[in-house]
Amino acid sequence: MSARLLVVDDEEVIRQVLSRMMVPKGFEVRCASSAEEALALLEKEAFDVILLDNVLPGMTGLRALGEILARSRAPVVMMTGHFDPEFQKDARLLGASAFVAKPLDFDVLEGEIRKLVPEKR
Amino acid sequence: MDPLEEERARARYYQQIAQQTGRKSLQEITALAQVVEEHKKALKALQESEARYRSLFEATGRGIAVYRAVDGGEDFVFEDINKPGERIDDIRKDDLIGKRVTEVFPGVEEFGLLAVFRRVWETGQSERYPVSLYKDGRVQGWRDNYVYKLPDGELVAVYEDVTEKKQAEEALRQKDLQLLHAQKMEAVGRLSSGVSHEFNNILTGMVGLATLIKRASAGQVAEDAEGIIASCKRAADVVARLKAFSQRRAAAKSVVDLNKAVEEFRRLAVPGFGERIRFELDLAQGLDPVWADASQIEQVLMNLCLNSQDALGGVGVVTLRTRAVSFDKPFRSPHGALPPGRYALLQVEDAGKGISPEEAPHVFEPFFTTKGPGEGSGLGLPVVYGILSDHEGLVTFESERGKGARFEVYWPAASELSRRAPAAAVPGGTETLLLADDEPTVLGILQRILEPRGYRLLFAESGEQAVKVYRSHKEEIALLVLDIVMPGLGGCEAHALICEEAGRKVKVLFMSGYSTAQSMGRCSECGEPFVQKPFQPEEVARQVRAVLDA
Ligand SMILES: Nc1ncnc2c1ncn2[C@@H]1O[C@H](COP(=O)(O)OP(=O)(O)O)[C@@H](O)[C@H]1O
Repeated sequence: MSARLLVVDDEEVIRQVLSRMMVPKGFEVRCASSAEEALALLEKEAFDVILLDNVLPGMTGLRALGEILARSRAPVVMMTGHFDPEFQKDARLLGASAFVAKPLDFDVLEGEIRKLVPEKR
Repeated sequence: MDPLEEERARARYYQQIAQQTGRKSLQEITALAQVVEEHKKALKALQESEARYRSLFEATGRGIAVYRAVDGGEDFVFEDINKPGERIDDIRKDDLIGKRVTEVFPGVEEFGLLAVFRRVWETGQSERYPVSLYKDGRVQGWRDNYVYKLPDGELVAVYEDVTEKKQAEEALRQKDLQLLHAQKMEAVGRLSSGVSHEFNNILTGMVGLATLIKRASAGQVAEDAEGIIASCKRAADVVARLKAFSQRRAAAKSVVDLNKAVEEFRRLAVPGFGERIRFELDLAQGLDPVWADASQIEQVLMNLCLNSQDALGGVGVVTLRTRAVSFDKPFRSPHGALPPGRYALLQVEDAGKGISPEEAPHVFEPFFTTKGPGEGSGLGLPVVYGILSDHEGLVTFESERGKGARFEVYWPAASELSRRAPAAAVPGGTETLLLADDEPTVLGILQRILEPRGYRLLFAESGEQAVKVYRSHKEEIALLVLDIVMPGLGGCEAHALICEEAGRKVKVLFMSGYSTAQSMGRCSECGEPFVQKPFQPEEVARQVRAVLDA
């Protein structure tokens, strides 16, 4: 069974690129364009890794992270803009598992994801 | 005098006139006498009117000076001046009458008024000479002049001292400029933080699509895709620098000796500049220590010195100077103002290409650069500006095209900042407070704010330690001041444990450097008060008091 990824990003092209990139690598990819949409999906489905953009419409990244972690046990990779130690400190404390900076380096991202789902592959 | 006596006196008078003039006829004499009488009356009227004009001349608030032309209208000699005139130019009438205007006021030609005198004298047309600055070795001030010619050829200048009015206007203009500058910088900061998020998303899309192309192809196409990815990385780099400008990191401030910081900079950074740039240090004794982030002082020095190096074309001297300065009234510059008080001034000076008047208003704007592509990012000075705003200081400069530039950076004295928040303004107390933060510098800052206000303080450097300290001082502690984010036990968890320990709700004030921590759900959820880092001293003191009194 392939590992299940949830991509939460309001940017259409990023959702597309990530699924087209990860599907050939053997992942099953689902996308959400807002935190609300992601939360709704999490009520119904389980995921192995969640990729979460830190700026989403209507909810701060930290808030979205908190809400997601309250509904799911999957590790969360935060996609952030420029490196911001304060934010990372807070997010890590809330329970974020890893950080990747935008613009994304897809090899780095894939590495982070694989670290979080080793037993599945 | 009785009429008879008067009659006799007149007769004697007529006789006298008859003798003196040799005229005999009484008629003749009477006629003559009448002429004389009228003449006397007219003279008296004239004297009265002269007195009236004199008092008018003196009573006006304006200076009035009367001149006679000499050298065929080339120069002018003082004939009269009124009291206000003496006062305005701080000169006595006796020292002036008969002297040439060019002698008494050597600046008059440069001032531009002499040319007006010559013209008015020649044409007879009155002229207003608009407000200008008069200056010589003795007096100086803004003057408003009106010049006209009397029918007999004398020149009159009516003038006013408008220096105070002018200064008030100038102060207002400076204030407008400062406000404009501050608004511009703020707008740019907001813009760049918004733009950088957008840009990173766009770049992610581009890198992603290029990566897909690369993976699905080979040869030239794959190589081109690689090129797109490389370009995107460069763009990302620019965005990161822009973001660094807009995102004011909370500075880790402590008491810093500016001279030490400059010497440290010389030791560590100067070797990187190469041999053709020579640094001269001119450090003043007795500088006040400043309240600053030492690494940011270094950043300021670095950015300014790099600019000097560029302005010098890589060869020359850069002078680093420090001075103690103290203002007893607000200091104004086009780039901001400082309240009165003590400052440590850092100057970075070079004799390089200088800054033209056209460039000057823009040098603090992000992305403004006169350097070639790849050489300048236009972010050096904006970063310096941001750092000084954070430090309640000021950066400004003086420069002339071709003659070099001197950047001046004012750091407020540490003593000054604690004075700016007078302890008396916010009431203190004698309660015992437990402060917890994993940053010892933050504890140090809190101590500086709270101890002078009378509080007893206990410290903890982690959530766990805070719980421990609470256990052993249960009875005394009236309030907890906790950092929300600490490694291990965070502020909120520590608070929960302490409440459990106490068997009641213990008063707490949370703090965090993360600006959206309030909306993080935690504090707003538990409804506990929150204070934002970096602190404004009076804000912390006020909050502490408010929570204690709640
Ligand atoms: N010491 C100086 N002498 C002359 N011009 C200067 C000096 N410092 C700054 N400038 C001008 O200000 C501009 C902006 O400077 P800065 O913000 O540091 O960006 P950059 O150095 O990347 O151009 C420079 O391009 C230059 O024209």
